[in-house]
This record gives sequence, C-alpha cells and structure tokens, in this order.
Amino acid sequence: MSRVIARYPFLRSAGEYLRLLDYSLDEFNDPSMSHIIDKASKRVLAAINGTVYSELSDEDVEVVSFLLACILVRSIGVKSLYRRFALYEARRAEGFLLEDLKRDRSAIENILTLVFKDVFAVDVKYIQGEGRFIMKVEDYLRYSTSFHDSYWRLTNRVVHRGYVYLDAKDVIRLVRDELVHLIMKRIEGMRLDISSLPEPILRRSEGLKSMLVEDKEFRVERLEVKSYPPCILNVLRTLEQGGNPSHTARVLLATYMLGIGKSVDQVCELFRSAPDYNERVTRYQVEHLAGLRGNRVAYSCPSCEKVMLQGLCFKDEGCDGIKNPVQFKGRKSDEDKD
Amino acid sequence: MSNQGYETIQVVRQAFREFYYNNSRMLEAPEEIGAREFGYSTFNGVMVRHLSFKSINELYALLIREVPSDVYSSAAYYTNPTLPMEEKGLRYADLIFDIDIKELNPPCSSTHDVYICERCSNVTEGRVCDSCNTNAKRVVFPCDSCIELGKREVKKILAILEEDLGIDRVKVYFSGNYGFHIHVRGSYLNLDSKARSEIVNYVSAKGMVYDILFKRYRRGKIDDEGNGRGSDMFVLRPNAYGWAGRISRYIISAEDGEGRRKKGNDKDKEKGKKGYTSKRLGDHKLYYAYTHAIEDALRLLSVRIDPNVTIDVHRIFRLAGTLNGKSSLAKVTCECIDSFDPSVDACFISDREVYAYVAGAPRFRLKGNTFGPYRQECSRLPLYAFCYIACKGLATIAKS
Repeated sequence: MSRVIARYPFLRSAGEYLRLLDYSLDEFNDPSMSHIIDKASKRVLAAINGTVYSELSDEDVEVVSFLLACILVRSIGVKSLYRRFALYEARRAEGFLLEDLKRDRSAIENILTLVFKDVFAVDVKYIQGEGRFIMKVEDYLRYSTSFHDSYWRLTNRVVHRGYVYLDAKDVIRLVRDELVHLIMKRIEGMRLDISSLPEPILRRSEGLKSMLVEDKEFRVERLEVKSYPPCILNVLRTLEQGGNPSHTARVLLATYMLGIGKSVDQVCELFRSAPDYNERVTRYQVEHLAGLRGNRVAYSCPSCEKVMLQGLCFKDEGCDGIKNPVQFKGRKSDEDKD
Repeated sequence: MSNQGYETIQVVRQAFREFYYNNSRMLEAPEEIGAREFGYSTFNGVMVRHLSFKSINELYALLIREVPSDVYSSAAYYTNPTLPMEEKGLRYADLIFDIDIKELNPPCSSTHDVYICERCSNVTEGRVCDSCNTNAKRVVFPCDSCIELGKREVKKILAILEEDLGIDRVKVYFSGNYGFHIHVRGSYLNLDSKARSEIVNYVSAKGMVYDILFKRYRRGKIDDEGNGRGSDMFVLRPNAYGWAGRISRYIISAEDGEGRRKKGNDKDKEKGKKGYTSKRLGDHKLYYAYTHAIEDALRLLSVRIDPNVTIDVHRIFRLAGTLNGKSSLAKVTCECIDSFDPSVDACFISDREVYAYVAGAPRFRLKGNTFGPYRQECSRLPLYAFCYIACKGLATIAKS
C-alpha cells in the first residue's frame, strides 16, 4: 500500500494517510522540513520547464510534497500553471501506471481497483494470459470521443461482448485527461489564505512565480498577444487551457506558424499540452504541412474567408484589410492607443 | 394524405379509429412513460409535439379522441418532457437504429414503385410528370424481395450488437412502411451524440484503418513510398474478435453465398489473382488478403443504417402498436424476423368493402390477397387495401 500511495498521492487513500500524518502548515517553518519544501518546489519547477519530475521517495515525503506542490501552485495563482502542473503530475503517474500494469496479477488487480475504480469509477478488467485489459464500450467512449486520431475510433479497436480490448498504454492514456482534471480540481478547490502561509513556503512561491514570468513560453503569450490575429490567439488559448481544438483549428495554427517562419520544432511544441498529444504523430503531421513528407507540398495558411467558413474567425479591428491571417500586422495595445 | 379529398380522409380516419378501438392492447407503452415526449401528426398535416402522459391509458384516450395519422414517442427520457427542447432536461436516451430499405437501393424497386406528380396527382412512369412536366414523387411499394433485403440488414446488425457490443436485449420492429427499427433495451442509455456516432460508425464499419486492425505484409520489393514491384497485403486474423475476425473469416471461407469460390474481383481475375492467399508455417496456416478483398468483405458485412436516427438523442420515433400514416400498416414487433411478413403481420384494418378510384398502383399483396395492378380505374376494394393505397396518395373514394 505504501508503494501505491507514494506513486499516486492523489488517491483517496493517500488523503486518508495524510490525515493520519496529522501535519499542520506551521510545521514547515521548521528547517527540518525544508527537504519536503525542496521536493515540492522541484515538482512545480519541472512542470514549468515542461518535464516530468522523476524522483521517487517514500510515501510520507511523496504525499506531503505533492500536497505542498499543489499549495505552491495555488498560491502562485496563474491558471495556466494549474493545468500544466496537473498535466505533468498526470504524466508522472502515467509512467508509474505503465510499470505497475506489467507486474504480477495481484499488483495489477490492486492498481485497477485503487486507481481506476476508486478514482475514475471505471471498471477495467485484466485478462491474464493475454496481457490485455478490457473496458466496457460505454466507458471507453466516454474518454475516446475527445481524441481525434483514428487509432481511438471504436471501428479500429478490438471489441467483443460489450468490451474494448486494450493494452496497458491505451488504458492509461484514456484516463490521463481525467487525472489532469482531478488534480486541477484539487488545486482550484483549495481554500488558501496566502498571508498565513509559512515564510519558507511563501518565499518558494514567490521564487517560482518570478521564474514563471521569465519563462519565455508564459512571456511569449503576453508579448505576442498583439501580433497574433484573433483566430490564432483563440487556438493558442484553447491549447494553453488544456482544451482540444478541432482538426481544422490545429491545421490553421500550424500553417499560420509555419507561414510566419516558425520552425517545425517550434510548431510541434505548441501542441504539447493537447489532451491527445502524441509527439511522433504531431511531428509527422507538422512535417507534412511543411512539405517535408508525403506529397512534399507545403500547405499555406487558409484564407480569412475559409477560416470564417470553418467557424474559426474572431475578427477584430486589426483584421481590417487583410485576406489571410499571415497578413495580420498587429493591433494597438493599450499603451499605443491615444 | 392532406391533399386527398375530404371524404377519402374521413374514410381512412374512421378506419384508423376502428383500429385503435379494437386493438388497444397492441399499444406498447415505452419504459418510464412519464419521462417521454410524445407527438402526433393529424391527417391535415399538423404536427403536435411536447406532450406527456402519465399512463398508456391517457395516451389511448388521445388516440380515440384525435385519431392521428402518426404517433411518436421520444427515445429520450426527460425531466420535463412538455417544456421546450432546451428546457426539457435530458436524462438519458434509448439507443435505436433505423434500417431504411430505400437506402439499400433494392434492384426490384423500378419494377413496382410508382411516381405521382406533386402538382396534378397524375401517376406517371418516370420522375417527371408527363402531363405537366413537374417533378414526380416516388411512392414505394415494398415487395417480398425488398423486405428480404431489410431483414438481411437486421440480422447483420443483431449479430454485431450481440457479438461485439454485448447487447442481447433488443426489440426489432417493422416500421409500418419501408424499414425496421431496432430498439436496444436497458443498456447504452448514457451515450452522448459523439458516442452514438461512434456506435453508428462501428456497425457501418466507417473510418476503418486496415493498418490498425491488420498487419501489413509486403510481397516482392516495395519501398516505403510504394515504389517497386510487388503487392501489399494484410495478414488475416480469423481468430480475432470484432471486425478483424469477422472480415478474416469471411474472406477465408471457401465459398461465397452463391457457392462460387471467391476469386477476387474482376480486376484481379484479369491478373489471375485471388482475393487472398495462404502460406503454411509449421502447423499453422497464415492467410493474406489484398485490400480490395477486405473492401469487398466490408461492403457485404457492414450494416447500412440511417445515422441521424441513432445520433440525434432528441428524435421522436413512431410508437409501437400505432399505424403508419404513409401506409396504414402498423409498427409491430417482429418476434421472428425470418417468418415475419408485413403484408399479413402488420395489416389490421378491416375487410369491409369500399368503392374507390385508383390513379395507379402496381400489383401488391395484403392479408394473403393480391390486388392490382391499377391504372386510372374504379374498383371495389377491401378497406385495408384501399387505406394502403389511399395513404400513399394513389386512391380516393369514388361514387358508386
């Protein structure tokens, strides 16, 4: 059980364990607790840097540092960081799930009950001998309909007697969004009086916040808000908030960015926070749009008329006189007005 | 029927009233009747919706009072079924499939369907009225072959629903005119429209990517771009579940339905190729199929349904045990699909005779009796035969 709690600190049982530990926030004024604050900060920093925090300690440290990391994220107060932190914690849990679902039968059954059933209310069964998992079609569709890739279409799955047959990776990928949502809800639901946070925690929070401002990805959005046309900004914001833009919206974003001179790598990075992000598939598709694959024809950004017909136009005053989003020259900022 | 004469409408309406009076037990109350939205059409072409009934008796009283041409009930269960759509409060909805025989393009339809001019009601040979040059509306007269086609689709979908989706509680209904409805009972209630669309695509095998279901096998020397000499095939999986197994078993089976050995399509025959080939590997035999063999298999194995019917959770469906205003036949349960004969099992109007003018109708069969063909002539007909063609706009009451 302690192994499970350490790896999945968002479990109900982890919460009960935390109550048993009976920590109070004041205890973090004690220097002996600094290693937990360090670990919590590293978790948040990893998310800011777009990486998965990989270190694993014992259950006490893991459960408390996870909670503390949530407190730090909440105290920083930047909504996009809630989503990003949740996403990378979910990816961390995914890695552990992938290991755990390849162990012996009883370990697998334990994980299926504690994680899938308890947290997501999804009944996933393990078929020993086949090394596969089955999930009810209705549950499968609950998750898969938000994925665009043909791979997830029910027609392309093995379906038998009301169950979809999946491997461990598929099972975990399906619930990743739910996990992100769960962690985000935990953060958003925290009632925090920032002024009463212990000094060591406050200092870390401020330090992380200043890194956020220096982080070019968070900064780029503010700098380039006035230079991207509103149709593009809309797609970017959807991605930033963890939404799932349609295929046509993604093509618009990718062709626009390629059209204004961004590299394939830079364009791929933009899609990293999409719920169904797959690095290999994204790169393939962006390279295809850039004319580096397939028919080797570079796709140009669709015209404003086409964007409007696709329901993706959010025209503002900066759009006057342009026929294609790449012609957008920018809008006046508040400083530029008057 | 709304542009038929007053007397004709009254005769048909009276026939419908008699049916409801004498066959109240046929009315099938949907589960949780109070949560359903009901609607009906009148013989004057007026549609009334957003109705709710606490019991089947309340509904029955309306049928006797209003005698509608068609009666509908929602697939959806609502909190407030009488409120406007956006306020009804959708709770969940039955999963329903519609097989429309017209969409199956029965090859026999040109031999028995007729066309009626929408302006002058002239029964014409083709799609354009030969009297006034206006578009003519096609009027279907399903024959036994048409119904057989529909039954085949029903059996296909029942097999897929049971074997793949684990659905064993279904009710199959004849729609009352030209198709079948398949109502799933007790499961798959909580699917939203996107999930229903997935189910539709599943039974119709839409969006299938062969490379995901099968391993590709390259014969000869072909590069990744497809250049070179050789052919691309797929490794069949006859023991697999779902579509992969179904397609594989079909291709591998020695003969097709007509007893001919499957030899691929005409293009392959030219090249002397079969649709598939096999290779022995120790105790096992591996089978490989060309893309076209898989496509041919899918064409025969997939089900053709009306996707909108399944996807739209707010749709209302003809209520079982009520009459279809396009034919006067009833929407009835098909207890045994093989032996079901709509001309007998769905025909409940009485036998008493009327004198009618028939603009045009092919030979048709009802209750074991054959009628027609008719062309601009008067005839004495049993009421059930008259109602059948009058509901199709092809007959009116004549003065004897």
